[in-house]
Amino acid sequence: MLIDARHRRWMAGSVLLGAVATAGYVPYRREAVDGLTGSTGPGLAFGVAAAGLILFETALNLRKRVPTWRVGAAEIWLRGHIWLGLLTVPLVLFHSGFRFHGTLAALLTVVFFVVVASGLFGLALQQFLPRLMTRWAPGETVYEQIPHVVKLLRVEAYEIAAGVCGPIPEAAEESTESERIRTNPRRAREVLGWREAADPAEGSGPLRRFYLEMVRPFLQGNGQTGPLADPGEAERTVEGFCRLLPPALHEAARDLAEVAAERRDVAIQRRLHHWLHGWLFVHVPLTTALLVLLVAHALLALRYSF
Amino acid sequence: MSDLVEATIDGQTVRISPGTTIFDAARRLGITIPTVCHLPPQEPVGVCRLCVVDVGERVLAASCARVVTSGMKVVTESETITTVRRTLVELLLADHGAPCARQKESGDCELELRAHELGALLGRYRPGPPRRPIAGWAPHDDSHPNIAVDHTGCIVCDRCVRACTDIAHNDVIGRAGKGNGTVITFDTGRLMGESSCVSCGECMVSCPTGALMNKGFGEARIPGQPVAPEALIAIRGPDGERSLFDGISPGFLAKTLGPCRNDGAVVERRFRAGAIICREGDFGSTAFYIRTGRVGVSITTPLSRVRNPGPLRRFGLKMKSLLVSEPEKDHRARPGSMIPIDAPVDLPRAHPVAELGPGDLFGEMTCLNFYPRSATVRALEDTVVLEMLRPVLQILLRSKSFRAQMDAAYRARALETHLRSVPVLADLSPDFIEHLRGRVELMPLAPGEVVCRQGEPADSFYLVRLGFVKVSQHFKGGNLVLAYHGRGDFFGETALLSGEPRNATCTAVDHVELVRIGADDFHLMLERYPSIARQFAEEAARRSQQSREQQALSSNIDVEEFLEQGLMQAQSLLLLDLDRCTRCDLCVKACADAHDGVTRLVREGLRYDKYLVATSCRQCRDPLCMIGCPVGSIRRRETLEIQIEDWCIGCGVCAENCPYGNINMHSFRVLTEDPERRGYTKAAVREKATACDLCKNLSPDQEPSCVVACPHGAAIRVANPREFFAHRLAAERPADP
Repeated sequence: MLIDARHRRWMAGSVLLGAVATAGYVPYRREAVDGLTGSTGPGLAFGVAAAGLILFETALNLRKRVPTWRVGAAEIWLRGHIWLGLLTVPLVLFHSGFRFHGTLAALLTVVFFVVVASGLFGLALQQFLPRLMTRWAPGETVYEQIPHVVKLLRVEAYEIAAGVCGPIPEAAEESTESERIRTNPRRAREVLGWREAADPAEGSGPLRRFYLEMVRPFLQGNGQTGPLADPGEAERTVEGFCRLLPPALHEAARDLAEVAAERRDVAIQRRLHHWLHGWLFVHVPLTTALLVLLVAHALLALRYSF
Repeated sequence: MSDLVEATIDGQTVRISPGTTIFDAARRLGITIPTVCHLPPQEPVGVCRLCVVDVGERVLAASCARVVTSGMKVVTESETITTVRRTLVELLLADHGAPCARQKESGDCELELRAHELGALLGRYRPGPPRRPIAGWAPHDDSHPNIAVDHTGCIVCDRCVRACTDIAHNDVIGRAGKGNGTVITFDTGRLMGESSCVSCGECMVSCPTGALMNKGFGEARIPGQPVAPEALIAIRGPDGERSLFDGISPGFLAKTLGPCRNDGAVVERRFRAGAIICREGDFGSTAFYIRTGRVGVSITTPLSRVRNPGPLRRFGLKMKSLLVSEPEKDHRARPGSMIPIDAPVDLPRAHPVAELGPGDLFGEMTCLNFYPRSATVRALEDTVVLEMLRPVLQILLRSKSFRAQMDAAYRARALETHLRSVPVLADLSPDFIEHLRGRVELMPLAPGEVVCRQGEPADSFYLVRLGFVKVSQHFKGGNLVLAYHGRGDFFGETALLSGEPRNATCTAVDHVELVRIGADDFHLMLERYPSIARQFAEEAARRSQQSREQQALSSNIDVEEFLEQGLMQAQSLLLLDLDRCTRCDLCVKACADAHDGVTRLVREGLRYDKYLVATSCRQCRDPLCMIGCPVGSIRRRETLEIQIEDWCIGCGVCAENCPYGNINMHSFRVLTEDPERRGYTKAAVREKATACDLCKNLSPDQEPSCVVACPHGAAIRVANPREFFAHRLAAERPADP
């Protein structure tokens, strides 16, 4: 879990600061005739505090860009980002007096809440998706390496099938790639390095069919469709093919199923990775927009209020 | 002649010299007594007992060993004798595995021929239990390039042992185990190919069965003009007076290097001035002896770190380099120190170039231990060298005369630079080095040979000249490898300083050569040079502290997976808590940022519990990566992290040796001399090894960058994995019965 006992101090600090802000806001709210606005002293103070915190929030991105700088561990910065970010919500509300007059202010508020909501959404995902990825995709790899790994899986599957069934002309692409890797001393270890059998093993026809009709299309696709996409169905399919094969070739069929399972793992990883990081495509650009709007709001407020 | 002995064999009278065996006397009379274990001119040992004869006593006697006495009446053939011989052959056949390889190939296995002659029944006696005399022993040993060993065909007749010991004087083959489990071994327990066998073939031609068989000798040849044994005898040794092969019997040399043995194992090669003899980082299996001419030895790989900065960062680094000086990486990295190479000289770090001349031998470690070439060697003038394979080098190194010549050359030319290349000894005065010159002893050691044992009284201090020495300590609960010492390192000072027994056992990992300085000279040195004494005391204290800390971390653990993943070996693990890690790769980016754009961390690896053991150096207790570096550029700092120095030549041995794949090879482009067009340069791709250094250069007292940069608290550096995983280990450990 991302949020755990280590966050206790930050949580308590933000709640305390939120309580102090509320304690400051309530008396003014009661005394003010038209309610508290951003241009009043307390309102401005809330606004400045909120703006300061928003700037601090954006500083996390800068902190990440200089990972070797010893300016506090990034973990501390993230804790601050989460809890001080939540603290900005009451401060913004107190600053505006729960009213959003004008297009700019309204837009700013909307963007602000979308940013907060997207952050909370991301935080919620980070609570459980890493665990799911660990459990569901034990064969996960470095995300950027997925296309390369899939390519190697295709070669590996070909080598297993061709090692039993002999050359498979339908899989010319895999055959060429296998040859290319195998003959490169620097890359030879990346694949099994099995050579094509000179003659097909007796009774290997179903294995060839299994490779060409099931495994190869599955590896070529996105790893999410077909009978091999589901572990249970994949097992039943392999068992079905094994019944058609002589016992000596069962191992090869299971090896192919293993390759398919690895492909399934990286497909799951890719899907979960998109969820785990996709929200940042909303959160980060809108934060930039928020900063621009915030500056505009501050300049206009200063220009027309004083 | 009154001193002859008269006896009767099968009714025939024979007069022979006293001391003659019945076997030899019978041969003189034309009587053939069957035997397996006896092969003249070897000394008889009488182990097969097949040559038994009746001498009129209560029991039959082995004719190969029993001496004829005056008036002896010998019967060599009778029904009883035949029955006994047949039974003996049947017993031998029980452990022979007939038909053996030789019988299959040429039909002349002596045991099986005797069995046929005597009408012995194959399989009358069941074979004994499988032989497992020593750890690592296997029934088939195919490791030798020329000789195939099939222990299942061996009847332990001892002919190969006597051939190797008494005839060829190589002392490689011996016996191990006892009773039915007795087997022949090479260098007391090594595979034949890893032993100090010189491939003379004497054992093979002595073997009566298919236990030692010729594999064919084609692979042993190297390109070049083979040198005839007679011509080799004429070549002058390092002293220019005695022969290079002085003290080695010409007959033995002719036989060993003759046809169907090792012909082509030594060749003469001529290099024109400027030609490259060998290149750093290349793998090889030969050593070179310079006959005439001079050669230049150098390291051409740039002495720098691998960098991979982007354009902006490149600009930043440039500015930084102008404004801020680079911090000293390690206080032990002193300017002026030397790079150890596989030659009788070391290269100065500032300008890694040296010269060798007639009588110099280089490439020993490549030849003996198959390490990559440590430097590039180029002919400075027209040069003639002898290039030799291991059997020939082994013969040379066995020659007392050659060793004496090499020792003299080392003392005269290399001892001073060797001593000065050790930072602690850099301040020795010339007169003291002169004093040591005649007193140090050069010790060659075979792989596995023990230099000193824990608990023994200390009498010497050692400097490593060639090879690697393993320092291990036995403690309650097991053995712990404290260090591997390579060329330029020293050991043995702790016990000499404290006066206590040795606190560790030092063993040769491969073919090692040590420089031994006696206790008297060591103490004299400390007396004369207080600064050296102080540095030794500091080093001894550091090593003692290190061993105490390492022992405290170790104990017996029986959790299979924990051991399988090598976690017990680790002293520092980078773990990623996969339940927290969002796979953002900030740890990897931080690592790259901290190391000039080249990451040493790959977020992939083995998993244990919910943790990913990232591909990042573990600072192992047994740092196998340190074995075999031909230029000694990988070492351990005092804080135990591995440091790869800038003079790495990119041979990749450390990366190969790391069992966990945690040392990476990084390619980079350099401009090198074009071998085809002198004076021109061309772009080439070189490699250097990189390993995690725990960011000690960046911030010695803080967490490494990867840990600091992880925003989710998922990256953890664990100094004591056993303690960290204590709960998990406790849960997995089986309950006490």
